Amino acid sequence: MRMKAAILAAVMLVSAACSGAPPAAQQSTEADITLSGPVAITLWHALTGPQQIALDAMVKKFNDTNGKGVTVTALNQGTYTQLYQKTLGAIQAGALPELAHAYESFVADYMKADVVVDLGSYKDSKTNGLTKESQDDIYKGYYDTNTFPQYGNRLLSWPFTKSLAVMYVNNDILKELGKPIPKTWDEFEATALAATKKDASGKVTRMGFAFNTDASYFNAQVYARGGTLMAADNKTVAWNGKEGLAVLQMYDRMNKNGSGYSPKSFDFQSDLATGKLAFFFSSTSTVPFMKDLADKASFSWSIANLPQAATDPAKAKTVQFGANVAVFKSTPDKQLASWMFIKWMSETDQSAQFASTSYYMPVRATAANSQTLKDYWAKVPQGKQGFDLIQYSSPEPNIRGQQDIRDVIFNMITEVITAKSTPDAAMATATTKANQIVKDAQ
Amino acid sequence: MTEAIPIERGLPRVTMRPRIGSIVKHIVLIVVALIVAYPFYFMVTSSFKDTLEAIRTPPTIFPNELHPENYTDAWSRAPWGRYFINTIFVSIAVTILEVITACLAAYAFARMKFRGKGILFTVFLATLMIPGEATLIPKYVLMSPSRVACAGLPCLGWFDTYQVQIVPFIASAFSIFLMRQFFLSIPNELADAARMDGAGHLRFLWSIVLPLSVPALITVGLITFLGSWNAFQWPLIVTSKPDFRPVQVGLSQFRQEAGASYHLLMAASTFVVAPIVLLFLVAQRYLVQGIARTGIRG
Repeated sequence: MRMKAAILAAVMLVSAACSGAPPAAQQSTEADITLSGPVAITLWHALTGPQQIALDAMVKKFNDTNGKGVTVTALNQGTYTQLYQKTLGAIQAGALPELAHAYESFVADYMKADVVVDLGSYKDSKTNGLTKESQDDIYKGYYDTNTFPQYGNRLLSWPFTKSLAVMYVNNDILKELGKPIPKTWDEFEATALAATKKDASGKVTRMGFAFNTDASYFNAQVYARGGTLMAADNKTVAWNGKEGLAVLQMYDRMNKNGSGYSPKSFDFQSDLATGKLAFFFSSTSTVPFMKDLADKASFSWSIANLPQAATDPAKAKTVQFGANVAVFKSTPDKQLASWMFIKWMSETDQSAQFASTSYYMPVRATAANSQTLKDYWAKVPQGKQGFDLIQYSSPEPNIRGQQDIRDVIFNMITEVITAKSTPDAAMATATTKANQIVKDAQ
Repeated sequence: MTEAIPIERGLPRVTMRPRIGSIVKHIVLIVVALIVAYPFYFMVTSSFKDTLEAIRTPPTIFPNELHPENYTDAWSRAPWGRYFINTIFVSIAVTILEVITACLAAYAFARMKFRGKGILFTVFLATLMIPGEATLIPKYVLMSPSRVACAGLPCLGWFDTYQVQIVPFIASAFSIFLMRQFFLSIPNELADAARMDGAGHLRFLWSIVLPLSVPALITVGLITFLGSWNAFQWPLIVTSKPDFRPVQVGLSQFRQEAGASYHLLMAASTFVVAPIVLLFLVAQRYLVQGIARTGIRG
């Protein structure tokens, strides 16, 4: 009898513990509500150094001025990869923050657990949303990248720290060669080779181009050569066409003739600054680092779009990247407070201010009219050079599995530049792996 | 009268080989020492270079110009005072608690007889083969505040606390193994004598075994302290606020999406590593003794 009573008591205790669990988070179906009281929300991000300082200043300004009792706490969670892994763990542990800084491929993975808020209803809300004019002011590409075809074309994240793939140029070397910034891939390859210098022993002392094994720069080159990254039905990759193969073949040629090299870590920045390198491809968020180096070693540098296959400048393309922010399902008040913060961040004044302090791109066109941004561009003209290229940027795929496909592309490039594989063989292997990933992730 | 011992002229032939061997040995040791010391040298000299010189390839051996302001810049980039307090507190707590659990468990395995001891010890050792990453997510979920994640059972809810950085590490199979090996080297006669004097297990452990095991205790303590001081991944994922974060997480502030401030990173690394290097220099004699006497030399 006593035993039965003990078991019953234990069951009751467990039941009580379970019933005390917080209710499963539900997405608000009403984006037009008003806040019922003060709300505290947390943003996990991957910004460090000056960019974290810039974000903290924006958060403080929002907390001081929003007038609705919304308090945002922005917390760094390491690198993007660490942030991604921690967020995946937090999904398992039921310990998500209200907002998280995220690439599209991260959001696609988070959405497997159905934890991400559809921001479409907030954007279009009559009381809390953006006007049509305001919506149109935000670059279309930024909507495209945050709209997920695998999830019913829902708007699952919002532009936050945007940038794009560009070419960094050592102007002094081009001046010495008497050549302009290359506009086509043939010009680029020829200029890089002309810039390459070897000493009497045959050792390369000045390089034309620094290879970048990151998938985004491969994707940018596929775009710039007129290719696409995914088939129209999103069921197979499309970067394996002639454009993608041309990228690998160029890397192979440059590797063999010595005009291209594989830098360690961020060595390419100092190599360009010290006149040992003519070109590298990188994000516009490299601008502050190059500016620091230019302040130390006086050299002339600039930013330009990647060389293009298209002769019509209007058809030029590059990859738009940079991270976004996703709102996780919590309570209607917290979701609305999260939306209020990201909406405020993307307004013209804030977008201009954050762009001028963080070196990221503004998310809307009218930010260019802001005096804040004009003053910044007067000091850092390369910032304006990057801004002018936003119109040519297109997003990378945001399908599930894209994060793994990036690794496949990285390995494919590495195989070619380490001469372990021919471009054709590396492409064939990578295509098989990538298509299997896409299939498995459907 | 004693016979005069004849004095041999010149070096005896038998001592030539050891001498050459000794020179070769020293040359090898010097080369290895330089290889080991170079990263430290690189770190300290880079911490005094400017942005450009710190990332120049090949690196300069001496800074062209000294920039001690890198240290103040690096210090101002993160709440280092808080990080140091957190790290010192967590490292000391983990070290003390781990030494206690290691001593008790090792004593049981070395000196006590109980059923299944051999199997249990094998199971303990087997846990050394499980990589930390494999248990990361289960541990993380266990620390979660959400009962949902713990399948309805109460979770600990320890995120952003000190205990989340301490409790999971207060028992280590390696420390237990190391202490057990040391305890096994203590003669049984001492245990017999203590028992005849009426000492129980705890008295024998406290009064006889531990005073004889100081080198092993220092070795376990030092290894544990070092591990705790250098912890990065676990504190990063279980803490979100600077109030509870350790120094290693602070170092990640210097690497950004598109570059790194290497001169500041090296300055911060220098002041983060300095206390641990000093500690090692002070305690290295015991560390070597402890490892030598437990027979776990590499």
